[in-house]
Amino acid sequence: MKKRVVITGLGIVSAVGNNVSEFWNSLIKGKDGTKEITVFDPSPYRIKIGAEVSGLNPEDYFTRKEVRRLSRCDQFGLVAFREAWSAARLNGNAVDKNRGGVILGAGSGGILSVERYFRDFYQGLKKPSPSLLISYSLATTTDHIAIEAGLKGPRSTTATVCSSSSASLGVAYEMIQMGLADVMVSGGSDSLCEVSFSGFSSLKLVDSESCKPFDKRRQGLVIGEGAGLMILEELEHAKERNAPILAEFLGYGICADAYHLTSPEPNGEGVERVIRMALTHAGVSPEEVDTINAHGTATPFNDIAETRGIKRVFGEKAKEIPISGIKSMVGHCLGSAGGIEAVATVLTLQNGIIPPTIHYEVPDPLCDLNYTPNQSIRKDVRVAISNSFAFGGNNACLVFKKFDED
Amino acid sequence: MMDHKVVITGLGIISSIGIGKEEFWKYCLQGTSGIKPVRGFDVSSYRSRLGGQLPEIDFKTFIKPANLRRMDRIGKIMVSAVRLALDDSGLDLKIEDANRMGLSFGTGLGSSDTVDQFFRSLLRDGPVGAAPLLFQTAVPNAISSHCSIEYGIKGLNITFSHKETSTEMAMAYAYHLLREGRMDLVLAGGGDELSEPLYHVYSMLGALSPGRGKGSEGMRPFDRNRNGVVLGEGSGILVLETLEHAEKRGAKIYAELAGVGMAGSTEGLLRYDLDGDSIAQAMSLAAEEPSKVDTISAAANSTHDLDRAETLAIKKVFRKRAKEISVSSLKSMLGEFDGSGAIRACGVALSLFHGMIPPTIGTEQLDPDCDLNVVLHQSQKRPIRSALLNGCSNGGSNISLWFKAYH
Repeated sequence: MKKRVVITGLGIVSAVGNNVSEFWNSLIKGKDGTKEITVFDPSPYRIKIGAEVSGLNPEDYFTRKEVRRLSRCDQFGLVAFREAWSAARLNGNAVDKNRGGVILGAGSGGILSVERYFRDFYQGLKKPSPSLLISYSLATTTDHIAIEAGLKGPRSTTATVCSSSSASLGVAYEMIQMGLADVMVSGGSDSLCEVSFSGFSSLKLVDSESCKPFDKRRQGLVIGEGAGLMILEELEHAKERNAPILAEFLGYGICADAYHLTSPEPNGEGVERVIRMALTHAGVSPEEVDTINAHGTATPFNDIAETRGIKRVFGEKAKEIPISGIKSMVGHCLGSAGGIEAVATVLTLQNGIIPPTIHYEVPDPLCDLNYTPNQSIRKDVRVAISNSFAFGGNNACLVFKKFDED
Repeated sequence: MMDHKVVITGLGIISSIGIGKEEFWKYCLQGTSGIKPVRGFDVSSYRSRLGGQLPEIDFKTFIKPANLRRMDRIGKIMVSAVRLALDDSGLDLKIEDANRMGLSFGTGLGSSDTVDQFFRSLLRDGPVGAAPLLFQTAVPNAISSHCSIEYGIKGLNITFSHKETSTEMAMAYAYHLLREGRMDLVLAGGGDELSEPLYHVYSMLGALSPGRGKGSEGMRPFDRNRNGVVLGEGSGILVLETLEHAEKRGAKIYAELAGVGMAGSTEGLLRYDLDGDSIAQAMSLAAEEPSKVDTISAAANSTHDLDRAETLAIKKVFRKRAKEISVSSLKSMLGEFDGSGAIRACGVALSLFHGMIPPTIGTEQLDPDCDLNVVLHQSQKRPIRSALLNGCSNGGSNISLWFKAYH
């Protein structure tokens, strides 16, 4: 028998809010988090914008010594973790520590710290501190969270970059199915860094003004950062301790395009396959899906492939399903994109409000669906899916449902 | 939901002691070391000079030259390992359903060399130095994506990166999907390469033998004079398949993958489990019948803490029987690297298939704190009913996989 898995806590750090309520208010108001980058010097670049996290003072959360040793990615992860953990009322002994684990998704991870080390090392101007290298492994944030929470259950990190944290949620779900855990911390954290910024810029996939998913004028992504974490919990365990149940995680899919290292399969076959996989695993028919949190990176090819994939699954009904492209507000947070979007999807189910795709002005005949342009809408939603796709055709799709007992 | 049995039907190995399973197994049983002075980059500024590097490989043997161009070195190594695994399995990809086949990979630092090249060029030339071709292969999931594109595998594509348990996790996840019948076949495993930046990082973090410690440089798991790791590299791919699917196509079966256990210790960010409780929990969760475990492929990597903790863990789980279990660490020949678990799993499959256990080499004097039945210097022949593979990462993820002989 499949165990039922519910979500009992959410935590967020993002360019539009550093806690869940601020984040949600910004999303439904259509606030754009794009600004000029400050975490590294963007002046040599033609494009200097990113969806950078602001207003989060590390010293409010960590000791001075910790601040020196934690990468920006670790800090975001820990801040979001603390919010999710206490929202789920898991402080103290609410869970047997042997039955709790952490699976996060990673993108750039702590590369920002590693960049600082190697910049000094290669330029030979000063001797960098080796403690910056603790962040060399993508597992570092995951370990930090597990150690802080004292969790002795399963632990790992997924590394499919733009779909990492969606994949991590799928894997965390399986830890509960495998009987290895009752409670899992999952999602992702990531920070801006020069390597990924310059890399996406070199591929000409970055927009110079704003992220405009599905709009005809779109030129690409705005790179973002932040953390989106959630607590997954086995239903009976959650009920026994009277935990707040925010939504149910019904299932997911992970698959490959097997097409190209950077371009998506153009006809949307990979997108179709992963959505179908997820719906089958979740035991949901396409007719039941009320809203889609799109991957919507605003790169010219991605948005077309995603639109085509959605049409292949939902047919005529595709045009009726409100789609949200929140990267227009929070940017593309790479390793935490799927986690942040999953949090938004759960909030959509809870509140009956679908956040908009902002900067949407000029329709593209190749992207002809209902993208919830510019204004959030009220709608009673029961089932929602969240898509994530990554370089090399690493696709993931998550299925969430408003919680009811049966 | 029906539980499917999961079996191993193909092995692909690219290792410092041999390419392909025959060569690898021959040198494993002979106890040949793959560790030599590092070639290819300058290590004169470090206290360490050894590494378990791969021999020169002509990748054209495995990959079409046109496709080689878009891959970096670790990509080529892994795509070649997949080729070897597919050939060994006798699978005919043309008649298989691509949607029912998947890739589950692990790599600790993936394309660390490519990331370094990209960054150096960026530092030197500014934004114009950012090379798109390097960037697209620099992401950790490029490796599995090369394989998915090369072999047209569409059902699953996932990459794990969690230090020394990256490939153990990849196998554990594949096992679960196969058990539930959601895939027919998954190519599981992965690996890592030994690059200059990685050597630098390990050295700066004080992880390499001889470190600041006494004694000579070298891998000597469980030895009283062990003093840190020697880095290695390589890749292992296992064809994991539901028994049903394997029988239908008349596949050769090496062994059964019969259980997975995971646990975490919380001693600190760069620390292994210390008291062995977490490693013991992973082993207990993995092996449904501990009384039938005859050998353990140890995670022991010649560090003070891990070798001791693993010993404690084995004693905690097996108590009086602990001394009856033949323990060996392949890392003594290959060196340590994050993705070593998959090659070591290939070793376990071959052990179960042939009834032979490869030795632990380099170890001269067993540490009294590591008083296990370690197979030293010479391989051992014994009937093996089942085997455990341990993976332990610094920071605290511990994963064990339980393999059974298949008759």
